[in-house]
Amino acid sequence: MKANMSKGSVLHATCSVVLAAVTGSCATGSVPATLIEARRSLVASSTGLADALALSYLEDAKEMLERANREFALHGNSDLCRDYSYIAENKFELADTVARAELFRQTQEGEGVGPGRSLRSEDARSSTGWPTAPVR
Amino acid sequence: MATNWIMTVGLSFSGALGCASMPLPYTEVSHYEASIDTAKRIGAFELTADKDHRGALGMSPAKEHLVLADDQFELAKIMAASGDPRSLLFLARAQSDVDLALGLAREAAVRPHRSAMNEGPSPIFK
Repeated sequence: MKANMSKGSVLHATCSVVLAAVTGSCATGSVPATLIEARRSLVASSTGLADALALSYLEDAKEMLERANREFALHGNSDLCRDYSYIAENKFELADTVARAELFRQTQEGEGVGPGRSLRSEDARSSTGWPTAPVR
Repeated sequence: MATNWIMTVGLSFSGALGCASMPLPYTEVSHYEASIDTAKRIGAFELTADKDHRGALGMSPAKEHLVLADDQFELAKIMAASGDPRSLLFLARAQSDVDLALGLAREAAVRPHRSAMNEGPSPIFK
């Protein structure tokens, strides 16, 4: 699995958090707890199973976190920032959940199934019925 | 003259009342309700907590997120009735909670199935 965790994604996740912290320090108000949690989840998910097995879910979560960071940079600890952070946190958790389930499924199917098959949203909708509800 | 004045005031008042509430978007509400139906169908509401999977409220994590989703959806409806645009965000929060609950329920269905592969499918899929 470690092979799947590319150095690039770890670096990207770390840079995102550092950048968010720097831009956030210019914003008004303290960083909301939900945003801090979501940023932590970004690092955890980006370096975990989700990066290999539930990439589209992870991307969806990252996009929502970006919105939260942007909102925090612009307006500080606002309702909108907290709402985006909350949704991002749930999306990160969903990505991890999908990845864990996918790993279980692959393990059940036997060692013959090679690792690295990413569970895409499209596959999910058609076969397993995983929830896909990107908030736009 | 007096009648005109009364009509003007009446229309303004009813107009203000009309603007005071804003309906939640039909598509998003339908999506949310369909997700809740799915959660009911797969038995996510009946999932019980176990030693390793217990949420802060003492319920299974999936059920907890369903409770949170329900609370936030109710709040979204109240906010929408008073014309608060944040109702849309509460609807989005509710949707993210129900999505996560569905994910957790499906993961729970796969997890025991692994340890008891010869005992048939997990009971949560009815």
